[in-house]
Amino acid sequence: MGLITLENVSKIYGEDVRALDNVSLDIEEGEWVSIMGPSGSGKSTMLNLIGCMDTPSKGAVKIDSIDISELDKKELTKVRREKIGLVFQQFHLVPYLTAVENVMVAQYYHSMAEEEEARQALERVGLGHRGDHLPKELSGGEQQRVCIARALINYPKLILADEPTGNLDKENENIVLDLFNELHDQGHTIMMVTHDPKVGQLAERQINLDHGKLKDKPQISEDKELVS
Amino acid sequence: MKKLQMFLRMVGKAFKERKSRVAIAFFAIVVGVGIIASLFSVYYDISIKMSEELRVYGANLVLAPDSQTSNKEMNIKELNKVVNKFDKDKLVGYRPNLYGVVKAKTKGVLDVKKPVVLVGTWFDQVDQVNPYWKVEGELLANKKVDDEVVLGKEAAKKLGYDIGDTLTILSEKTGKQKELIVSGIITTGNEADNQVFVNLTLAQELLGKTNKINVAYFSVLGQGLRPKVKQINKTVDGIELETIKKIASSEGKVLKKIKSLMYLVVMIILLSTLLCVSTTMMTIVTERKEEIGLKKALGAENSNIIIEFLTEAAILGGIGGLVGYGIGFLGAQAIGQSVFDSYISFRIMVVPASFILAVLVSCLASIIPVRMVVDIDPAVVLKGE
Repeated sequence: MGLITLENVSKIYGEDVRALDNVSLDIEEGEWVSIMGPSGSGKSTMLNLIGCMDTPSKGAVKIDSIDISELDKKELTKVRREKIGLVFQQFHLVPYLTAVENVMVAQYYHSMAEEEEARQALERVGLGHRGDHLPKELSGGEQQRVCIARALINYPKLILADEPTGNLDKENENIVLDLFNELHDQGHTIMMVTHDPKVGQLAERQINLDHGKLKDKPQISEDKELVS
Repeated sequence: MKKLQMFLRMVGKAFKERKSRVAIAFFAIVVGVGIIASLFSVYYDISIKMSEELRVYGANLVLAPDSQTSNKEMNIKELNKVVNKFDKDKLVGYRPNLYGVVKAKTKGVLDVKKPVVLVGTWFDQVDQVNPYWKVEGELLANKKVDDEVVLGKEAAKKLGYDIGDTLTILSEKTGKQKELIVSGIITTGNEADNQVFVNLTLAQELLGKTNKINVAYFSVLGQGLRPKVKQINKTVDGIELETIKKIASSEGKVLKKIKSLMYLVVMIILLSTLLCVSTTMMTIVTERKEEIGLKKALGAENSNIIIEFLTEAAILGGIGGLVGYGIGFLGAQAIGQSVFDSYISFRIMVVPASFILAVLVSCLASIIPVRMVVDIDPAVVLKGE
């Protein structure tokens, strides 16, 4: 069994609006998977389900062998806290906390806020010298790297990234994607939602969604080195 | 410890981030608690101050022989026993009276004598016990003076005497007659206007009642006189000490009305403070919706976020309460000076009371905002809302 397993998952809103329709999927540990598809294809719904922010209407979602379908909000929060590191398109850093404090926030809610460890995480993403700066004093790329450091700080099983390069210029996009490559090489499992086919092709596997269904069979990327 | 440090770091920085909003809530608490602390400080003192003020209207206790016995008189020793039961600093004054009917000669050539009530008393206590008496001429400051008389206004009118005239009075019981110079005329607005006053020792001599008195009036400071009166009645035989209901009840009524008014004002102020703080906290929660969603997405449970908000509210309330108390105390001094012409006492109990009240109000005001926190979905962060 993979790290993430979706078994005949459907998410139905209202009477018959199927955001996800009978989707089955298996993601192995250490894999880098991209989820692609047009707006309204069900990407966000899938992300919400795998990110433990929602539960399916039908089927089962298993994360590290835990079926989250029947969990309540508190239990979902616990799984998210323990297993998942989130990277957002709009960075979502707490504006009044410094870079290092933003990393420590994730530590604080997980277990213990260790400033030294948080600074090391920033070093890891090349921001050791920017730890005491507020988000507004950082560039978009730097903010996204703080976000990645925050996602990594609790050693999650899965890094869930939602359009991580969507708000970045080309230069910063390459820096961030290089960082994801490094993480993948180190054995992290990455699941990334993206609109950009070039970014999507960096993954080992692309999952295409259309109208809540898997468009075709998951593929293994053949030109992984294309961008990096 | 590190967790606590991070917690305080987040709370402190959250305050700094929203200085203006926090200032509004802080100001509301300071004003609210300030007024309440001021009212309470004044209220604690008001009964004492009012008691002092009401002493202007005369005695509040009357001493008489025990009504269970047939005695209508008592020895002056009984009076001294009762006097000794009061703290000297609380006993403003006391005035014994001995009554008797004598004949007084009307002014004029004809030898007409009219019955009048003769009252033997201590004139040096009139200012303390009957400060409202209007005195024309002089009262007899020396208790040994035995050739002067003070007439009630109506008695002076009926008998036709004025200050400086000589009045002859005759006690039919003892047959003693005395010529007395009118030294003063008093207006009291009560039965004393029809009476004739001399020094107590002279009255005792004329009436043949050495060391006897009928009643004594006391002017005593302080609240809760009833238990004291009860205790004196138990310990001193042959007497009956009672509160003068007119003064005591008006004092009680005024205090009751002030108390009701104060509670009403306090309720209104608390409600408005609650609304102001609650609205500000709701705005803060709305502004921090994304941050709250983010924290939840990062693994914070509702309880974590609620504790953060309640701590912010409690700190805001606590500091606001202490500052409010300080301002309230100054306000109380202003009220004390303008209304009672004296300072209001510092009461340590009002400090923790203000602190606790402000913390409670802040936390109560945060109930609705905290409910909003619970409803925030972490998915809003992923949706980019």
